[in-house]
Amino acid sequence: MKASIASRLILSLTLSAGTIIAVALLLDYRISREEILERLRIDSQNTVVDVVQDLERMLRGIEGNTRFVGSIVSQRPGSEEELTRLLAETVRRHDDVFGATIALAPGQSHRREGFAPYYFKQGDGIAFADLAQGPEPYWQLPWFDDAASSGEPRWIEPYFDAGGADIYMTTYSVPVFTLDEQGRSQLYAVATADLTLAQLHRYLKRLELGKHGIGFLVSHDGLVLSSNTDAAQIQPYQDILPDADQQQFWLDMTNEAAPGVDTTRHGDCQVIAGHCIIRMTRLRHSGWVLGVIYSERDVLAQLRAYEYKVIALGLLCLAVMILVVNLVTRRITRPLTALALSADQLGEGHLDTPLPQATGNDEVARLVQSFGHMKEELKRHISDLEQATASRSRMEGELSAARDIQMAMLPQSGRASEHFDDVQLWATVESARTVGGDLFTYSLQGRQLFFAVGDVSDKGVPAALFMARCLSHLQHPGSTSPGRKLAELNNALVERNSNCMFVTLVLAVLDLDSLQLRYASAGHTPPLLLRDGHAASLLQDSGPATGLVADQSYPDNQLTLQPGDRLVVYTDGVDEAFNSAGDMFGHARLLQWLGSSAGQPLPAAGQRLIDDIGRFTDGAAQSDDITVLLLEPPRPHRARQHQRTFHLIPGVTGACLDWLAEVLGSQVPAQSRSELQLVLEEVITNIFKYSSLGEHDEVSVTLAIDDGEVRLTVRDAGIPFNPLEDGRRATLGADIDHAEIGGLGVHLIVQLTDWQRYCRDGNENCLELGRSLTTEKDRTGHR
Amino acid sequence: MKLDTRLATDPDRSVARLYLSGALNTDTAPAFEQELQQVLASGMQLNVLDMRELDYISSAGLRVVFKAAKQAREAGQRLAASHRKPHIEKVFEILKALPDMAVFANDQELDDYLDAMQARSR
Repeated sequence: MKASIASRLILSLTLSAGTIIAVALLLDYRISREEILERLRIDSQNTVVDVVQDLERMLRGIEGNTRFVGSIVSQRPGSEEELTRLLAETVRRHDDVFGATIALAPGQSHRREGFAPYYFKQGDGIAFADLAQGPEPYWQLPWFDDAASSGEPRWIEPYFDAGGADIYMTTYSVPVFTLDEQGRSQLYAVATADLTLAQLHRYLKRLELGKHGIGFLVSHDGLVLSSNTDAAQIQPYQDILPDADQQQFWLDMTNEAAPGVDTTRHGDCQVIAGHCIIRMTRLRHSGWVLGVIYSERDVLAQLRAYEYKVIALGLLCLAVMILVVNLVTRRITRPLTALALSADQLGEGHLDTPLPQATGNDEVARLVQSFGHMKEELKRHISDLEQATASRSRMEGELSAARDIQMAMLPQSGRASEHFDDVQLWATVESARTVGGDLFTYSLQGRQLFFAVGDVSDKGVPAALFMARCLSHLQHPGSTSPGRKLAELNNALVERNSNCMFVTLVLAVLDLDSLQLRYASAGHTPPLLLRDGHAASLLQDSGPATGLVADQSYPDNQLTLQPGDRLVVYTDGVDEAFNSAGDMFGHARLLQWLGSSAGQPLPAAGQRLIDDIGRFTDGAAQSDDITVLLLEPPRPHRARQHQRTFHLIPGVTGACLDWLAEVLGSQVPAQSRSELQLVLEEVITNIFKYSSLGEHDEVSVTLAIDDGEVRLTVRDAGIPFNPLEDGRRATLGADIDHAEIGGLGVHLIVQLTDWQRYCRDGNENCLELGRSLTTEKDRTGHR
Repeated sequence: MKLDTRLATDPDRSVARLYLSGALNTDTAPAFEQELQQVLASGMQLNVLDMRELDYISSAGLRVVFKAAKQAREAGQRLAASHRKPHIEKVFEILKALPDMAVFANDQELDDYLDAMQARSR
């Protein structure tokens, strides 16, 4: 699941959707918050305005009524009974008026204690009290004195009405004036109406906004009636706010409050916990300040509830979306997962693995179709490849067999080394392709050594076939001259040669007795001659290449070889060998090689040329067949040389030793003969054991006796094995407990010869051993 | 070249003498090895390879002698060589073969050795 498409889709979609939802919620919250706050502000304002209106209406009613009573008394100061009846009527008829009195000014009553009848509500009825009977004269009390001294109607500070109704109340007092005999206005009485604080408290209760909201009323002198206290409790604001700063804050605010103006403050008000909002206004008639305090947190509680709702909704949306995305991506990626499994199977080579079913025409379905197509193509391709490989390996097998057949046509299967009396011949063919068009052949007729080297045009199978044809004509040289033989060959090849294949050829006859060489060339590269250390091309008269036009003449060239000469007949594959840089091996390098090969045995020299060419081309594809034929008349004072090959069958050592004894004869002392036999036996035994060669393979033994030295050369085509270094050597001189069994032969080889030399010559092991006959040493192994 | 052998045993003195004649080389060594095994198996105390008629020995032959000498020693027997021709002796010397192997140049040396053995065992 990790890093799968589904999980990445879910992650990215969740993140992006979550971000979008969060941003939307945030915007919604910002907008909603403003709206809610505005609504709450309006709500609280409306509430305050309503309460203020209701309260003012009530106060206005009370004021109006009291002033009406006052005006009646002023115009018709009646008897005490009339005043008493008026009062009772006023209290009974006016719901908001708790109690009322008409108190005559001192001196207006005939009684000494004055006249102040008081009616107030008690239960469902009304009760009477005579204020003139109070403990102190009533005209000294604030409800009378304030109005009387100011001469204006006014609201009295709340007080406890002792002696009357015995409750907290406030009173609206209206002074009543009459004219005396001189026409001067004089105070006649004070008419009052009482309003209980409980009544006011009911209005304040309506101002309780939110859980912690408080409504309050502040009088002129700073007495506070609050909705969160008992109905009848008033206290100075100093008692509520002990802090001077807070007192100043409130004082400033109440001073600022004016009728009809809504004053609002936000901040820490200490009255309720946390951040609060205070709104207040001044009542028009009484001059009291009415206000409300409420907690912002209360107000925002609604908002917060709204937030929680929105967040919960958002999370729910996310969860549902994740679920849906998960389902959808799983549905989409299920064929992909199945396809990946199938692809793994395909990758392991199970091309018959079924692919998942994909319906519809979406990308996944197209991918599955592409996979199906790829699978079929792969199957077809592999089947094609198998067929191609089979046919190619069959062709390679056939070509390999063809090469074997072609090589079998050549003397010694294409790599020849032979002596004719003392004349030595060495030749090789290296085909550019599996089969090729180069050829060489030789045969001895009496004392005449006939040999030829040719190069068929083109390469490969056609050249090989034409080469075979050419070779069949060369099998019986007859006794004619080389030039005539070439002319006969030419006429034979021209027939039935619609492809116009042709052969360039050097054909030669060497008389072994006189060393006289006659040769003719059919457009072939001139042979090289090494004489007295100088290498050069022979001058030759040449005819055209054979196989193209009938009845051509080929002149004979003549040359008498001298002892020590070395003749090289080759095809142009030698000097025209190219390396990967496009450089040619060239004639100069060829002459240089020939010059430096003087003194080197013929096979070693020939092999060195092949190796030189191989090193020069350095792995570049061989462009043409390479054929080299070397011929060497006997050197003056040459060693007597004997050579023989032996099949590696059981008993080969015996055969070798018998042959060696025979060729050594009486030329060497008996002891040397015996020890040389011993050496050869050890060498042959080693080859027999370690060369990995079988009964059909051969080992070549050459014995040369020259100038008092016997030279023994043994060649085998086995795996590279240097007995002088690779061979196991037992530690000598150990006692019987520690002596090793085996590994003794190499000691004998080394001790019984004067020098030993090993080289890997082409694909052959070549071991050369020399032993002097003139200075027979004491070979006792103490060297 | 062939190898001919002839065995003469002297149970009284617990001596086996194997006369070798011809060539002991790669070709003849395997057959000789079997023969020598049988000689050792007869349990004689001293086993002498008499080489007076042996013309030729190669490392393959010496290998057989080595192996037999080792076996004999483990079995508490002895293997000795006698009457080696000069060139056979030379091969032995080149290979420093068996420095502790008893060799007898002639019959007298062998008899002296046997007398000394008997004198010791008495």
